[in-house]
Order: sequence, then structure tokens, then C-alpha cells
Amino acid sequence: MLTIKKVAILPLVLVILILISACSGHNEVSDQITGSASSSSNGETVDGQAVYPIQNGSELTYWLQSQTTLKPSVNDIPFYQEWQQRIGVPIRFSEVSATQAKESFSVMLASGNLPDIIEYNWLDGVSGGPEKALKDGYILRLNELIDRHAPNLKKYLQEHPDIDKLVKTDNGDYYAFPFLKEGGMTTQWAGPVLRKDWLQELNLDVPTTIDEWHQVLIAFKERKGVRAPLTFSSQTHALQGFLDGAFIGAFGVIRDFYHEDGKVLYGPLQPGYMQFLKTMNQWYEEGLLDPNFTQNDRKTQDANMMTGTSGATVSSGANIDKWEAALRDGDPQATFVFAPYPVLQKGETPKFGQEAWLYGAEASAAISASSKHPELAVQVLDYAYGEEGYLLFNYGIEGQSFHWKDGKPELTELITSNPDKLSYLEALTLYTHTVNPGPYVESKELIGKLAVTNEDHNYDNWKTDNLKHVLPPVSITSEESNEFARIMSDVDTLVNEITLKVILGSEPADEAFRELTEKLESLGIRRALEIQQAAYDRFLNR
Amino acid sequence: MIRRVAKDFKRNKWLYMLAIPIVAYYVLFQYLPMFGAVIAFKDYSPIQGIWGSEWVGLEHFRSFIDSHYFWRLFRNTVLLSLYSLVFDFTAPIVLALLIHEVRSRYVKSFVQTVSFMPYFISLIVVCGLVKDLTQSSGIANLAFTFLTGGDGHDLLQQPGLFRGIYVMSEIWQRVGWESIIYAAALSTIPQAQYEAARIDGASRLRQIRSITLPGLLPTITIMFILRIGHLMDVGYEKILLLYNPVIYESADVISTFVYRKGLLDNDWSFSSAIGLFNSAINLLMLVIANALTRKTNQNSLW
Repeated sequence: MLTIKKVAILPLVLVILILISACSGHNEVSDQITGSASSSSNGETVDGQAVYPIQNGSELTYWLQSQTTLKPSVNDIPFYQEWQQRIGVPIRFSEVSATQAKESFSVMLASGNLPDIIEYNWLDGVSGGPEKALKDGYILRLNELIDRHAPNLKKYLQEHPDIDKLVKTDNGDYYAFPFLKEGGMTTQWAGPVLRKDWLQELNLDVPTTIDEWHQVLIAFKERKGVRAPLTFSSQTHALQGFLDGAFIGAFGVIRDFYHEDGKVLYGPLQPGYMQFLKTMNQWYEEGLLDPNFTQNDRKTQDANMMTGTSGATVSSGANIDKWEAALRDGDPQATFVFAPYPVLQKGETPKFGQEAWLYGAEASAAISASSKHPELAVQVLDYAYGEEGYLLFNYGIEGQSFHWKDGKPELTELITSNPDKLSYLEALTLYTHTVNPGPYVESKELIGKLAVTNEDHNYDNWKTDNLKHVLPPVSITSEESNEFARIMSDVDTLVNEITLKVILGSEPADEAFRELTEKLESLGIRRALEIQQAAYDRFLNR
Repeated sequence: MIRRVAKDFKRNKWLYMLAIPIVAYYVLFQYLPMFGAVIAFKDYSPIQGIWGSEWVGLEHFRSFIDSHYFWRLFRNTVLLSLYSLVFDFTAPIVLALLIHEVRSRYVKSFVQTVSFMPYFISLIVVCGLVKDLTQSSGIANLAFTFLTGGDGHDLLQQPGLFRGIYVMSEIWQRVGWESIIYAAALSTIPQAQYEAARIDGASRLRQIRSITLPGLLPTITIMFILRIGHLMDVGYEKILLLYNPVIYESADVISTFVYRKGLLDNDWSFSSAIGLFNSAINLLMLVIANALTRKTNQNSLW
């Protein structure tokens, strides 16, 4: 009995889930909003297009990641209450915490019991990508539905052909209501940052090359006595600090696929990668790199920066504003300065850095193939892409979170100096959808106004050639997807392991790099490169 | 036969009723899910369902055994299990013997209470403690650096130390709890035997060897067999909470690999095949251990 119990953990989990989901479909937090009494329509549509509020008596189920811990559930967030009232369709949310999202998503897929709308990263989050998800029958191909029932999104995509190209697969299939951005700080918001007051005290310039960074960090260590001059958050990945291209980009590579002159390359195979490993190992041994950099969550990074344990990191501008405000309480002189992404030779343009595409795949809403109300789901989602929806998702509710001034929306004090002492980011999370990914268009103007910008907080310092080199949202064919996913799962494990081992000094760089290249070959990296190259070529021909 | 059962049922109707929930539990949650293991031989797709998915036979098993990480996973699992068997399994016995030898009733119950307290701490908290203690400024790290002259780097980033940390934290958490069963067995040994031994002039060590240990042997044997049945399981929840890519070399075991493949990569069939492989080895070990102990000391599960 005892052994039999353990015969198969996974199938057990699956079957339990199927059982549970079969009999508890109605246990999710349900929403009681009945819609405004003064509605003008009863699910009537004009030319097949929705008149909001819709109110045809149906309700939808919606799976998403929680945006905040400020409220116990999505239904308590004023934004979501208002949104449901406006669209006139009650929604039952199933929410999972962001850290559990990947597992919960996988378990939900395996159960075969999918809610109507699923907000997730349908591009990179599903093994095999969107074409496979469509072919396996998890989600619906949206082309006809968008054409007939989503006038707002349709118009937006017609007006922005460059974005249209990003949000569909090579076959021209739309698979989700995309998270769209208008550029500016909505696509470029993070980079290297240092304590400016320390630099001034030590009489140093803002570093631009790897060598200058080295000198600055040594000065922080030796003359300021800082324990861990350069720190990182590793909340989602042990190498998170380098994933966007900071430091590693100076050596002309990233820890991923990228392209040069139309040819797809894999970073860890390039000689630059070994140079990067050697340099980071040296910094680690010299005590310049935070010894716990692989295990820091975001709170540890916050603490390191706000207590002066560290003097440099890579972070989003919004975080930096937060740290600066906290530091100023104790030390009015404390300021941060945005530094350009480091390069090897002075005067070079950084090759890689944080810069996203106008389509942010991280939270796009797909409609499950088993949905009984696909048209309704499309109408509900399309609201966000219209004029009213744009205002609601970005600025919130008129008279509450914004008011009109000189014909322009302006945030009220509820957001800018919240009576409950919420930061503006927290307040925005409650009253709007902006700053959080989701199926809507994120306003460049709003985000730009929120950030502190001055000569030190200069987002232009973070400009790079990133988008000329990273791969666009390519899609892999469903035939190749299994093979690709299996190769890359082993490859990722190997690359992470060897990268960390070299940086932490448990293996010498040259030897490790030789081992890495050999093993990558035997794991089939050539085949993966072929698949990516083909996908990239197809993308160029879209 | 049927009549006998019917008669028995009539007589003990309420007892049978009482058993229904337990039987239902086993059927629903232990036996039925076993059919799900069939996806290990298929290319499972939830949309086509368990029966509709394509049959691929042993392909997943083959690709696991051929895979790059197979030997490392296998070695890590076996080594970690052996470490646990040698240290975790013997520690409670030693503790029970030591407590048994203490004369003062108060000291005895004090030590017992204190030693089984950690068992009630949640695994998440224990792993948080372990991480804090072993990171570069943690107390355990400082002590380790002082004793061995190490470089003070995070202990959980050094592949050579993982098994030691794992086993020690296991002992810390479970030794008191698991020693209870041995303490109970010890209390059944008649005091008269000890008195007789003392009159014959046996030393305390001699008493332990000739009276206490033989009295404990049946319990040890049963516990040992049960333990062997779980040999390949290792505490994967704990490993998941403690490990990181730097120490995969010694910390990545079959069950953590199953977790990553199945729940993170959605490769359900492959992952089930590996889980099934693991369980098959467990079953085999159990049968062997049972046969061995039956031969050597007549104690066995069946």
C-alpha cells in the first residue's frame, strides 16, 4: 500500500484536479455586481457590435494573476468593479499569485477545464508557443471574431500595421487580446543606477565602460566600506540582473537568442559570453558583486539600496524613485543617477539593454476553445481598446481618480497624494489598470508624467540598440514546438548552472566554457538555432 | 462465502458504515488516480483526454534514460537516499536509547519535548531558517567558516555541502518525533530482565547490547522496511525550497526533475514516465528489503 500510494504523483494531481474542478466550478469568488439600473440595452447589438453595458444575462469566467496584495481579491479592486459595471457582464475571477502563475497555469491546462478568458503570456509562457496552443485546441483563433465583434481592436491594428505584425503568428492568426504599449517609458523603463552622492564624494564620474564600473565599484568597496557594492534582484530568475543585457551586453552577447545581420545566434556559444563570465567571476571574488545575488528577492534588493548596503544595481525607474524617497528621509543628500548600459570601449553604443516591443506578451487575454460565449468574451475584451476603455484602463474613473483639465485628463490627489498613504503606484493599481500588464493600451503620456525625470533620472541614458538585436515575438511551428521545448529546457538548465558556477568560482571559466559548448552541441543547440532561424525568417516575411 | 459476509455485515452494520469514508478515500484518491499513470505511455493532451491521446509506448522512458541528466539524477537520488538512511534513520534510535538510559523522569520528558518540537514547524519556515543560517552572514556559515577556514560564501551555493545540510536539517526536525516510536517499544521491555542482568553483573553497555537492542529489533526492522519503500522519494518539497541551479550537480533529484518537467514545462507525459520509473524502483527495493529481512531475522511486512 505504502509504495502504491506514491506510484504516480502527477497523474494523481491531475485526476484530483479534474474531480475538483468538475464539481466546484461555481466555488470561485463570484461577483455580485448587477449592473447599473439605467441601462439602455438588453444584450442588443448594433450591426453585431456591442453596445455597453451589454447585459444579456450571461457571465464569464476569467483567469488572471493578481496585480496586488492590497486587496484580498480582484473583486475588491475599484477598477475591476467599475469595468464590470461599464461592460455590463459579471465576471467570475480565478486569481493566482504571480509567483505561482506558471504552476497554476500548467495545472489548469492539464485539467482540460478552462475558463472563458485566460490572461497569460501566450507567447513564451506556453511550451510550444501560440501556434501549438491554437492547434492543440486550448484557445480560439480570433481572426473572424475580431473582425466581426471587436471594432476597437480592429481599428487600432489597422492604424498600427507595425504592431499588427507583432501580435499574430506567422500564419496570420490572432491568438489573444494583446497588451499594447505606446513606446516611451512604457517600453523602456529600466537600467543601471548608482548612488550619485557617493560618486561626488569620491570624485568619480558616472561610469560608462566595464573598466570604469570596476573602478567605481572598488572605490565604493574600499573607500566607502560598502559590503556589496553591486546588487541584483533575482526574484524570478537567478540571473535576473543580467537577463536584460546589463553588463553582459558590453561583451556583445545576451543569455539568449539574438540576431546579427539576419543570422540568429545563441549568446552562451559566443566567445563574448566567456569574457562576461570571467569578468563577473573577478568582481565576485573581489567582493564587488553581492555574494547573495542569486537569492535576493525584490525586498532584499530594496533593503540593500535603501540602507546603503549597496551602491549600484539594475532597476526600473519607478523603484529608484521609491528608494530615493526613502533614503532622503535620513540623508537629504542621497540621490541616484541613471547610468548608461556599460560598454567595453568608450563611445560605443550599448548593444543590449531593457527595451520592450510595443506588444508586451506578458499578459494577453486569450479565449478558451471550450468557451460557451466566445462572442461575448470578445466584446468584453474589446472595450479596453476604445476611447472610453483607454481612459478607464489608464486614468480610471472620472471625478474619482482623474478629472479634465484644459481638455486633458489629469490624475487627482487620490492617486498623487493618497489619503491612505498609498504610493502612486499602489493607488494606480487600485483605481486603474495602468502600470500593470493586461489586455489594453498603456498610455505613454501617463507613464511619462508619473516618473520623476531630471538630469540624473534621464531615461535617455538607458537607450540602447536592443531592438535591433533581440528577436521579435517570433512563433515556432506547432510541428517543431515539442522538439524545441525539450531541447531548450535542458539547455536552460545547463546554461544557468554553468554560468552561476563560473561566476561563483566553483569552476574555472575556460574549462567551463569548453564544457558548455560541447554539451550544448550534444543537447542539440544546432537544431534549436535552425528552428529559431526559420522562425525569424518567417517573421521577416510576415 | 457471500452469506458469511452478509451475516457479518448485519451484525457489524455500524462498523462497516464507519469504514466507508476511509475506503472511499482510498478508492478515490489512491486507486483511481493510478489509472492516470497510463499517460506515461501516451502523448497526453488534455483536450483529447487521457484515453484519446496518442499511444507512444515506452518512448518517454527511453528518452529519459538516454537524456543528458539521467545518470546525474539517478546518482543524486540514490546518494541522498543512502545518506538519509544512514543518518536520519539511525539518529532517532540513538536518541531513544540515550533517553532510555537517563534516570531522571524530568530530564527525560524535558529532552523529549524539546527534541520533538521542531517537527511542528512548517517546512517553509524550516527552509527559510536554513537559508538564513547558511547565507554568507548567517550563524551556521560563520561557524563553518571558523571551523574549516572556508571562504565564507553562501553554503547553499556549494555543491559539496548540500547533502550534509539536507541531512542535518532533516535530523534536527524529525529526530525527536521519530524516536517516540522507539521509546514506546523500549517501554515494553520487562524491567525484570534488566534486574536479572544487573544481578549477573552486566555493565550498562552490556545491558544495552543484550537486552535493549534485541527488544528493539522488531520495531527497527519494520521501520527499516517501510523506509526502504520510500528510498527513492527523498523529501522533494524540501529540496525544491533549498536548491538553486548552482548546486543542481548534487541537489537535483528525480522528483525535482519531475516537478520541473511536469508543472513548469507542461511535459506531462514525460514527467509521469519519470515518476513511474522512480516508483518502480521503490517497489523493487521494498520487495528486496522484505525478502532480506525475512531471511535474516524473521521480521517482515508480509
